[in-house]
Formats: sequence, C-alpha cells, structure tokens
Amino acid sequence: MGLEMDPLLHALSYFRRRKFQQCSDLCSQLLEKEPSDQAAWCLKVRALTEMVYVDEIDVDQEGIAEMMLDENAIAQVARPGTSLKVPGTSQGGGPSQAVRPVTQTGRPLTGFVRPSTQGGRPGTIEQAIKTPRTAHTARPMTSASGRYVRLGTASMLTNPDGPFINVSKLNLNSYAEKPKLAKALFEYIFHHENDVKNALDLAAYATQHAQFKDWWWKVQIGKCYYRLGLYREAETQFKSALRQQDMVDTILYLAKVYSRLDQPLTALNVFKQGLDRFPGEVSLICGIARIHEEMNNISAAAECYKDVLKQDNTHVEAIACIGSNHFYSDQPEIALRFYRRLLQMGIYNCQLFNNLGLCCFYAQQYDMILTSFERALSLAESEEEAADVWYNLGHVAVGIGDINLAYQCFKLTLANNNDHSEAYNNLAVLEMQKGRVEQARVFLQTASLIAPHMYEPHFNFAVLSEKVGDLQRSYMAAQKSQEIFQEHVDTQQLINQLKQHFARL
Amino acid sequence: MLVPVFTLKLSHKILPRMVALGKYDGVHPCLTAATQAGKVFIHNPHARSQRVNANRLVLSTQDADISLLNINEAVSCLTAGVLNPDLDCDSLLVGTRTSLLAYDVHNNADLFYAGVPDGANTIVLGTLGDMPSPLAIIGGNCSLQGFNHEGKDLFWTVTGDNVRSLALCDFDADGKKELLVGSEDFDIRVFKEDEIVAEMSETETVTSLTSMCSSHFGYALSNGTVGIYNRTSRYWRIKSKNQAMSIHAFDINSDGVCELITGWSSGKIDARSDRTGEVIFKDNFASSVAGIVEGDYRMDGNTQLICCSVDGEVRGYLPGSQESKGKLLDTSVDQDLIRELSQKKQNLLLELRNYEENAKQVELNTQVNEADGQKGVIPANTQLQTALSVNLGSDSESAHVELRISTSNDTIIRAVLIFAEGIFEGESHVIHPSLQNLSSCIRVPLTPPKDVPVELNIKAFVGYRNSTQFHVFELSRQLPRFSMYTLSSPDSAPGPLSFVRFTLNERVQMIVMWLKQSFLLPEDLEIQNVSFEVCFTSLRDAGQLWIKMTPGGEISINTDNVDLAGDIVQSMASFWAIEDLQVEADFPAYFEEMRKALVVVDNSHAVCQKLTANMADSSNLIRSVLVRAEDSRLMGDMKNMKRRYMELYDLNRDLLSQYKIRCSNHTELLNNLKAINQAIQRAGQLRVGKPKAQVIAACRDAIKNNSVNMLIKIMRVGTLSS
Amino acid sequence: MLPLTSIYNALYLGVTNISFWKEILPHRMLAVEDVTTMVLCKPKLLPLKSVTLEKLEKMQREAQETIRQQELAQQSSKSIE
Repeated sequence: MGLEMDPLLHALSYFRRRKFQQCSDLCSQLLEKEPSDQAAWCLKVRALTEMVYVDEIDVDQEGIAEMMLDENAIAQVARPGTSLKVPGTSQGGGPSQAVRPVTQTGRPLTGFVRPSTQGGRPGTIEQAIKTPRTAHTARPMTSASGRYVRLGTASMLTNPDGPFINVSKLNLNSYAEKPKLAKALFEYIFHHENDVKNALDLAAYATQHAQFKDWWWKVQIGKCYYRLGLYREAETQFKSALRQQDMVDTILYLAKVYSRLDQPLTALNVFKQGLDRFPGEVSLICGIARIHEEMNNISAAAECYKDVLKQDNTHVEAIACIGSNHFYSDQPEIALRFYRRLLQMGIYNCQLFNNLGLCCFYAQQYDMILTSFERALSLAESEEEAADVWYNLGHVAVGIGDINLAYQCFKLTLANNNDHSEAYNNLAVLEMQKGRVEQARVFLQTASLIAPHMYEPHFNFAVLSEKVGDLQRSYMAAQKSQEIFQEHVDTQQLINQLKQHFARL
Repeated sequence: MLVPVFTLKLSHKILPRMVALGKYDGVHPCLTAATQAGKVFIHNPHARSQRVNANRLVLSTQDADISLLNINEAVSCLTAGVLNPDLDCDSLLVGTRTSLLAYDVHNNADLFYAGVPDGANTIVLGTLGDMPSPLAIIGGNCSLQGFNHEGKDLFWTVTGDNVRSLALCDFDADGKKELLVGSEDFDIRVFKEDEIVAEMSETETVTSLTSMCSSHFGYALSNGTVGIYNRTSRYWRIKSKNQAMSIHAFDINSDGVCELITGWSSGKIDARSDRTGEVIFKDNFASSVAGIVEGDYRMDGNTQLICCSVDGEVRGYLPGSQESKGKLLDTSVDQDLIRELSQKKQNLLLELRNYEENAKQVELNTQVNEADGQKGVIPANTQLQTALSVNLGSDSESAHVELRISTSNDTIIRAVLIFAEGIFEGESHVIHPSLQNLSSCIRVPLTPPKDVPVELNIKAFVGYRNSTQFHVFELSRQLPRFSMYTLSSPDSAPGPLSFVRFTLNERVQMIVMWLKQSFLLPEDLEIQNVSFEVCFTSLRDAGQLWIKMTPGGEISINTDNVDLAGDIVQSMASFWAIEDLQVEADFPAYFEEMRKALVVVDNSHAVCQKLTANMADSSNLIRSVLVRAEDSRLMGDMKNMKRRYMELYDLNRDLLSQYKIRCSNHTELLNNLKAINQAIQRAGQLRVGKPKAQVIAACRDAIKNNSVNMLIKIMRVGTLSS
Repeated sequence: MLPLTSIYNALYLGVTNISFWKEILPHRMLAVEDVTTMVLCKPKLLPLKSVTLEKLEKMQREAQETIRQQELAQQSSKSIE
C-alpha cells in the first residue's frame, strides 16, 4: 500500500510547478488507460501549450515581405512626427549620432530590446535582401515564416511519434459547444500547432455558440486576424471586445494593430483613453513610452518611463532605458545607480555586467571595472555577446592609454564575431596611429561594407584618403558620411577643405 | 469670357464624382481626389517652403506636392469637411464598397473605420436637422446611415432603392437642413431626420444633387437632364445628349445669386442662371469633367471655382467682377439673342394674322361647312372631349387603359401629341393617323408602369379632312393613380390571403369618393351599403385586390402585392390628410421569403469570413515565395528562381479563383441585404406618420439582434409589445 | 605700445581704474590648427532582453539542437547499415 497521489492530482501538481514535460507524460499514461478522460486530455493540452507559450502582445515580427509588399499604412509619406516609418531626425532632443551609436534603422541604440524593435525601411526588395543579415539582425521573410515556422516544429519535438492532436480530423464545431475544452484547444492550436486558419474556425464557431457575448473569443479572433494580416478586421474585433469588457490586454492588442497600420498617434490615443479607465496601469504607460521611442522622441519616452517607475519601481524595461539615456547624456554615475538597481532585482546576465563595467569606468569607479567585465565574459551565452564585451574592454583600454591592450581586445572581438563593424573601425584608427595605412584602409573598407548605417568608417576613410592624397575617394567617402550624419561638424569642414582644393585645380 | 486664373496638370487620373477640397491642417485647402488602384491623392501646393529637401535628387515640384493614400479598395465616394468639432481641421472621409474610413490627414490617424455592409455609394457631411454634431451620411443599397466623429451610427433609415446622390438643403426654410436623397428608382425624396416630408418623381436615375440658395436645389439625371427645383416644383430643366458628371452652386457673376455650374462628360463646363436656366458662361476641357469644388486655393482671400477633368487637368476661375455683371459671354451671344427675339416676333405676328382671318370668316358666315375647311376655319363651338376607360385587351394586345379623344362635331383630328412623364419613352407620344383613317375620334392605349398619378397634356390638331391649317386644342387630363385595375366580381377568383387591416372614422360616401378618384370605375357604379366590398383585378399581372369596409369603420385590403397595399394606404392617407395610421398586416408568402433571405445572409457572412481567412493565408504564402524568388534571382540561382516563379504562378491562379468565389458570395449577400432593406421599407409604407418611423427603427433593431421572429412580428403588428 | 602720456597719467594721477586702456582680445583663438583626427566608434551599452525574447531564443536554440541530434542519429543509423 503506497500513499500515492491520485495520478491526475499528481499531474496537476507538476503543472503548477511548471514541470510541463513530466505533467504531459503522466497525462499520456492516464489517457492510454482511459482515452475518453476529458480532464486528463485538457490538462495535457494545457501543459503542451505552456511549454511553448509566448505572450502574443510582445511578439511582433515584421518580415521583409510585410515591409515591402504590404500597403497597410494609409499614408505613403506621412508628415514627420506622425509615422513610425519616418523617424523624425533629432526630434527627441537626445544625444546625436556623435555620442550614441545607432542601429541599422537609423534610431539610437535603446536600453531594452523586444522581439519587435527592428524598424527601418529599405527602399526596394533588393536592398532588403542584400542588407547584411547576421543571425542577430536577420529579418525573416515574412512574419509567418519567421520564428513561427521554427516554433511550429515544436509539435514535432514534443512528440516525435506524431502530433498529440491531429487538428484536421477534429470536428471543431462540436468542440466549440463545450466552452472550457474549446478554450484550451484553441490555445493549443494557436500556440503549439501554429495553425491560424483552424484556430480561426474554432474561434468563429465558439463565438457563435456564445452568441457574440463572450469577449475572450472576440480577442482570440482578433489575434488570428492579426496573424493573417487582416488588420482592419482585427481592429473591429478588438473594439467590439472592448465595448463588452474593458481589459488592459485588449487595449494593448488594439494599439499593436494601430502601430502596424503605421498610425502612432491613434495608438497613443488608445493608450490615453485606456489610462482614463485604468489610471496608473504600468503596461499602458510603457506602451506610450515605446511608441515615443519608435518615433525617435527620446525625451518624451524618458518622461513616460519615469512615470512607469513611479508606479512600479521594479520595471526592468524602464530602468534599463533610463539608464542608457543617462549614460549617453554624459551622466554615467546616475546610469550606474540604475544598473545597480537591476542587479539588486536579481538580473544576472552578460549584458548587465557589461553595462555595469562601462558605467564604472566612465564614472571613475576603477575598482569594479575589471571584475564586472570578467563576470560578463563568463556569463556570455553566445559568441556575439562575448565579442561585444571584448569590444567594450577595448574602449576601456583606449581610455587608459594602453594601446597594445586595446589592440588585443579588438582583435579578440573579431575572433568572436567576424562581422563586428565597430571593432574594424577602431582597429583601423589604431593602425593609423601606428602608421600602417594599408591595414587601416582595409579595415575601414570592411567596416563600411558590413555596416552602411554608421558614419564613422566613412568619415575615417575620408580622413585617411585625404592624408594619403587620394582626394577623389576622400570626397566620396565624406559625402557618404554626411548623408548619414548631417550635423557632424568635422565632416562639413573636411568637405569644405576638399572643395577648396578642387576649386584651385 | 472668364479666363482661368490658374491651371495645373497633375500626373494622376481623377475618378469622376470623387473630388473634394479640404483644409487638413485647418488653414491650407488641398485638392483631394480618388485615382486608380484604390488610391487617393492629396495635392498640397502650400507646403513647398516647409519641405526639407533631404535627398540630393531634386524632385519636380509637381510630384512633390502630391501625396498618395492607400485605401486598398476601390473608392466609391469621397468628401472632406469638419467631422469632429473639437479638432480645428478637416477630416477626410473615404467610402468603399464595404467600409467607411474617417481619416485625419495632418496627424496620420484614423478617426474611425466602420464596416458598412450596404455599401457606400455616395456621402455628404454636415449637420442634419436637430442633431447636435456633424454627421457623415452615406447612402448605400436602399439605406441611409449617419456616423458621428466617433464612428457611432446615430442615424439610419431605409429608402426605396439604391441611393445614388445626397445633398443637405434647407428645404422648408426653417433654418435646419433636410436631407435630399436621389435614388435609382427615379425619385428624389426629402428626409427631415428620418421622416419623408416630400417625394418628387423624375424620369431617370438621379445622379447628382446640390443645394443652392434658400430652398432651391439643383439635380442631374443619368439621361443628361439638369434642372433646378424650388421645394417641390421644378423651375426649369434642360436636356443634353451628354451626361452631367458634376454640378455645383457658385456665384460666378457676383450678382448675389448662385448659378448652377455643370460639368459634362464631353468636357464642357457651363454656368446657368438660377431663375431661367440660360447659359451665362461656358468653357471647355480636353476630357470629361470629373468634379467641381470651390475654395480659396491661391490663399489670396478670394474663393475660386475649381474644376477638374479626368486627365488630371485642374483649372481655377475667379468670379467675374460686379461691373461685368451679365456680360460674361461674348458679344456675339448678344446678337444671337436679338436674332432669337426677332424670330419669335415674326411667329407671333403670323399667328395673329391667322386669328384675324378666322374671325373675319366667322363674321361673314354663320354656318361653316367643309368647303371653308380649306381656309382653316372650324365651328366656334367645337369642343374636344376626352374619356378614360379600361380595355381588357384581346389576343392581339395586352390589357391597357384607353384614352379616347373626340370632337363634338364632324371635324376630324389630324394629329395628337400627348406629354406625360413616366408612361412613354421620351415623355411624349404622337399619333397621326394616315389620310384614309382620319376620324373625329382617336383611341390611345396607355400602360403606366407604376401606380402614380400622372398628368396628361394633350394637344390635338383639329380641322377638316382637306384642311391645310389646323387649330390646336390643348387640354390636360389626370390619370387616376390606380387606373390599371379593373372592377371584377368577387366570385371570379378566390380572395387573396394576405391583407392589411385598419380602422378609420370615415363615412362610406368618403370611401366611395376616394374610390372614384383613384380608380377608373364605370360611370354607373353606385355603392350605397354601409358595408361593402369591391374587387379589382390588376391589368398587369391579373393579381386580385379586394377592398372591404365594415360598419364599424374597419377597412381591410386584401392583396398579395405588398407594394400595392402600401400605395393604397398612402393614397388613402393623403386623400384624407391622415397624419398617423397604425395597421395590422399579414403577408405570409412575403414573410416566408424574408425568413429565407435572412438565413441566406447569415450563411453568407460565415462563408465570407472563411473565404477571407483563406485568401489572407494564400497571400501570405505568395509574399514569402516572392521574396524567396527575388533572393534566388539576386544570387543568380536561375534554376531555383524559375521553380519559385512557377510556384508563384500557381498560387496566383488559386488566389484568383478564390477571389471569384468571394465575389459571387458577396453579390449574393448584397442582393439579399437589399431585399431585406426593401422589405423594411415596404413595411414602413403600410403605415403613416409616427408608426411608420417606429416600425423602421424596430425592424432595424430586430435585424441587429439577428432575431427573425421579432422582425416578422414587427412587420405584422407594428410594435414590439402587444 | 601704450602712449607715454597715458602712462604718465596713470602713475602721476594715481588712476587705479584703467578705463582708457582699450582691451584688445583676439576674437578667435590665438593659434588654431585644424587637425582632422579619426573618430572612434562609441562604447556600446548592450540592451537587455525581454522575457519573451529570451524564451523565444531559448526555444529556437533547443529546437535546433534537437533537430541536429535527430539528424546525427539518422546519419549514424544509416552508416551502420
């Protein structure tokens, strides 16, 4: 006689403790004994879903195809300041490109990254495909074929002998009549199987059975439409769900739709109305901050993040963003305080220690620098992260004056990540100092090829060519640099000088 | 001649009747028009100085002025104006076959996007009646809907047929605007909020309406007629062989009264005076006119008249100054006028001479005989008589109403001209029997297609057999409303099952009077009984119509034709000036059809959703294959590229066939929706006054709640409770 | 060179405030050398990843791992035959 738990209760306990694989196995055993056990079936379905569940609000990958071939946005060229496609240059009053590095999109590097913070609109499909896409910056073909397809293989992985539920054989209408089973089944089909069409059918039947009075089903239909790219229909569904039951989630989904339709001001409106009904709700304020950030309105974004922190002072995203803003506005001590708080909250990863190290260096807390960077290196999960840490160490070395150390650090960066354009650029500067012009030129050319969005390689190439006497190349490179970063005084002076030279000829 | 003060050549085509002028930033007017491929362009010449030239390329200034908006669906109507009074700028309203989008151009934000299942054929923006906020009113298939700036539909009503044109006009000079609706059933209806206050019948689809000063409004038909109404009476109209594409009211000669500016499909623009319709100004475009708007486009304080053609040519005209009042046309036109007047003078002189001759002859002789006929004289007491009767027809001709015209003596009728609207093609009918068949009596067959009262203007040439000059007799005759129904006996066929029943406090004599006025009854019919019963058979389709009255004042009308029942109720109500009338009605066959239509609509909606999802999925797939194909091409991998393009071709074909299925599903849905809307309208016609509006509103609610039984009960009884 | 009369004024009269002395200060800097130096790329603060992103990346990695293992297993079973 053993004091064993009832197997279903055992499975439930596994589920509560988030040990989904064991829960699923136990349920399979139960189902073998009794195939029509609804409770075990339901639990297994939920366990399988939870293994791959990702919050749909955050997931927002815009593939190449969506960007180029879709005309969801109403205005092809909107007024700057009203569109996510046209970042208003230096509208936000933040630090310029001279101080803060920019990403491929032309927007400054943010403090926090989500699955969707990749904007930028290349002009043609050719440009989009040709843009160097490393594993980090790769943009998927379409949102459907991106991560989702890779995730869709999850079902193959959890059950190598075949899927647990064969969706095409199900009679969705009969399942739609049992609301509790239907909800679990919907989530399974949507998240685990990634089969949006069948999920939509199930949701449509279920809504009809509920006589259009269940807001949850409306939101799910909206999510399905969003995945399929039918944004206007999704908007109608979300609005209808909101009328029935005010929920923060629905507001977030609705704002996501408007962002996709390239109407940031409408999305902001939605958030503000939501704040009227849910005053102080952190996710709404955070949403407002994100939109400001996407419109390059850094100061407004910072204000909003501060509001977030007033409500919830453990909000990681807000702390990280404000910290990076302070760092790049020449206030590394304050940035240090923010990153320390993150450490206090238990975040323990490579990026945080890297940032701590940098802030310590610029805030002159020289005792902590090297230990932080050591921790960062040990925590690096991929080679790209290690490369970035070595790159920042190189900066520290340059600051100390130890050129040899800097040289070695940058070389290590390249060893870890062959495509690190900033390292190429800095190596070129060091080589120039040593006088090895040819090496410098090679490095600069590589850097400008890999990262056409950075102005530094172009500018440096211009300076180098001018020193060597190759005025033509110098002029062309200076032009490119000016296109990217118009306010750079040095570039303008260089161009003027060259123009004077040419005028004399 | 007025010369255009500015001309623009835009590189986009303009779709006709979709042009508007809006101040999207509150200050600068921008020309907006729908162009091909589901796009709308906005021309903003005022922002040149504000634009930062980021590129090295210098774009041509024309192109830089135009920004395009993607609507992704064929645009069916367009307007701009103030929708949200709190915003100080105009919003752009774009209607398509299935949706209405209100868009704030300046802020790149939607005000609302509403799905409109009845389609949006035409749109007008403004305040209607007592409603506090401005509404965007769209006319669709048999229905009218009004939305406020939040997208709530505050106004909904049905009308007889597809709406083709709308205008807001202060019809009865009470300071509040009424809604003029022109539809495909050739009627212009005037709605005061959701009640019809007037209805005018025209001869063709009303394609444009525009309000002019005070209670005048201009209209255009699809057969090239343009005219002006003052309340319910028509001032003037002209007919042309070209179509009037666009009409607008504008004071072009600064005389304080708006003229009617018409743009024709031949490219001509003319301005006609309000009172008489004479042409004051004209100009020509190279292609058909697309739209006419007015606004201060040059920002110099004067309003210009802006005309656009379908090729993208835009011209602006300033109104003529005060001094040149009336002298806008060339002097050669003055000479034309003089010539016309002198011609008229000659004709009148000739007529006068003939009368003098005739009078002289009569003085000489007291008896006139045939020989004098040569001189064109007829007896002074000749009269022309007309009589209407029903002719049941025979094997050779169908049943019709017969008009018999005869003279009172032995003079003969040489020819007859009958003018009537709606009965004949081309509005008039001429009969001139050949020389052998001349007689003093002519029979004319008439078949009015609809049950509306028609006025016949008859002109007859009367004289003698060998006269060369004839006297013209003019008279008019009213054709009763229900003249296509003949009296029959109750036993000839079983009575119809469907009926309308209501109670009136009227005496039998009044009913008889109404019957005599509205039907063609034989002269000798006498009805004396307090309770009586008459039966009619329709000449068009042999349907039965029974009218019964009991001593208690209860009247019941039995007929299977819902339209006929409605017409009879409306006719009785207007005869006795009844303001409100509640009835009880039962049309079992018709209600069954309604039930089926609603079921079909439900199914169509579900199928539509599925098809849309399928199409979206397919298009996603196509997109990814396209990107991959481009990738292969850039890499130079021709084999893969070919393979992927073949795949793309197959997918494309699939998508096209799915689209065709969706189209046919959609047309079926539309037809059924239209049938439902018409049913609601007919249910409304069966009642008068407040009950009518109540019924329409209640039906709408029932449809929104998807409750078929409630809908049928409302149609039967008139209200929800009881 | 200051005029002798003014120095005489200053010393003799004991004028302490030298208001008659005009200050000649250079508008620009005294000696300017425009050396165009090369520009280093800036230190990079690494952005933190959201929970969703981390989970997605983890799932992606695991899926790739499993597939690779399955392929290896298949290959080894093929080579055995």
